[in-house]
Amino acid sequence: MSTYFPHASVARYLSSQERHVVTVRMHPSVLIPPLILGIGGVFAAIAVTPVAGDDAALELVIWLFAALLVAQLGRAALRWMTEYIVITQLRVFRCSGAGITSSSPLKQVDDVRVTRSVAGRLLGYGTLVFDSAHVAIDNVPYPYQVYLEIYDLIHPEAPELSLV
Amino acid sequence: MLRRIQRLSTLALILSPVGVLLLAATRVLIVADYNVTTALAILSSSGYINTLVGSVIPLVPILMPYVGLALLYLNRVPAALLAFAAALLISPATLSGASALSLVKHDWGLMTGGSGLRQAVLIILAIALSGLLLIEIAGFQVATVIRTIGTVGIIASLPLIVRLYPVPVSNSFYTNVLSQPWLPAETITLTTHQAVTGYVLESDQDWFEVLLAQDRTVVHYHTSDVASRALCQTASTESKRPLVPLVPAVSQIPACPQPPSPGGAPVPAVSGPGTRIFGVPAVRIPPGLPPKESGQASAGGGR
Repeated sequence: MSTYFPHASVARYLSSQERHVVTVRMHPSVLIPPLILGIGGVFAAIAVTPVAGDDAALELVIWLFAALLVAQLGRAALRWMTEYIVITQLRVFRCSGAGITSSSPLKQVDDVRVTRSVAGRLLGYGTLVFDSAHVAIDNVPYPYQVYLEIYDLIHPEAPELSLV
Repeated sequence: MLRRIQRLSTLALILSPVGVLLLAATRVLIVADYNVTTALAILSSSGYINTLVGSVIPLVPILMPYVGLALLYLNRVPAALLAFAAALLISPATLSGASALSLVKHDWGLMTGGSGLRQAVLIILAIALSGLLLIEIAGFQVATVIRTIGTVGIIASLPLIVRLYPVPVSNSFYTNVLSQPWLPAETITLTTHQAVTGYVLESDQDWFEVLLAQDRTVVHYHTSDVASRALCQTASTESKRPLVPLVPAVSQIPACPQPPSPGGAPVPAVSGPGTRIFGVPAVRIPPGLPPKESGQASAGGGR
């Protein structure tokens, strides 16, 4: 899970004093809504094309709309491929090709929780909640392992853990 | 976030007094056939709020179904449902309710028919879609599920909506809507049996201030010279019935008389007795004089 030699697109954001702990991508479940929209758009377009009949303009609009939904899926997939959740001993941040999109210093974090929805339990992702910093990171893969890494960073001397 | 703030700033500018004033001024100038004096005369009688509301009202019923679709795409589900409900009640439909139902049945037959390959592709996509949708329902927020269903529903319902509520595609429709004043058109019959079509901007016990429909001239008729007034509707304001009409009766407003063709007899409206052209103070034209060319309203004060 842990990548001790971070990807080049992550390493550029790390200072010389920062010890890299974990880098993970978002769980692929983030692609489910755009995937449904893409498939649903193509499905609906195929289904209603005979209804459009001779109206070429209407048919074009329908297929353009379906293409837009497929393009949104492509955009989401591209974003998923280039976005990382990075944990160092100093901070937790999310970065992508566009830069650091959110960051939270660990010294502001008193505690961390992990929660999992039904789909999260089925598909293997969870949400990390940093109550004191008012930050939550959704769709984290390997949620318990990531949780334990962060917990160790926050409480290096604490022996007891509490999994919610 | 910054982009959102910029969008909100643009919206705030449009809705600010400056934006509203600019929109109202533009609309009044179009209605006044780009004549500033006529525009001032109209504004002195109405006001920019009336101008704006009158600009929007003709477009609301026509565009309401598409506003609903846009709101659905933007995940504004309650607002989209309200827009669709309003469309059922006010948007002019090309078919009655029973005909629309039979059209839906006919469309369903077309959608489920077709070649074996097409049906196989549809079945495979439907199975994949159902499985993913179940995962989405189990693990994602309700808003996400509704947006998914709504967006796919937009494509599925588009052919039906386009046929029920066709969008006018010709430029002439929109130029007509923009150039029509927000007041009801009236056929004004003078005591000389001359009938003119216009929009009554203001009236008191002595005078009617009328914007003529044909040449957008503001004229004043003395009340004693007006034999009758009757509402009429121009071609652009004739409306069809909505899909769910709340009022069963069909209004019987007659169509406005057509203006004479170019080269024909000039409109006699402004030459009748007791008539004065806007900007010409208190001119009474005696009966029997030859018709006078009206032209645009000249510069100057009111009556």
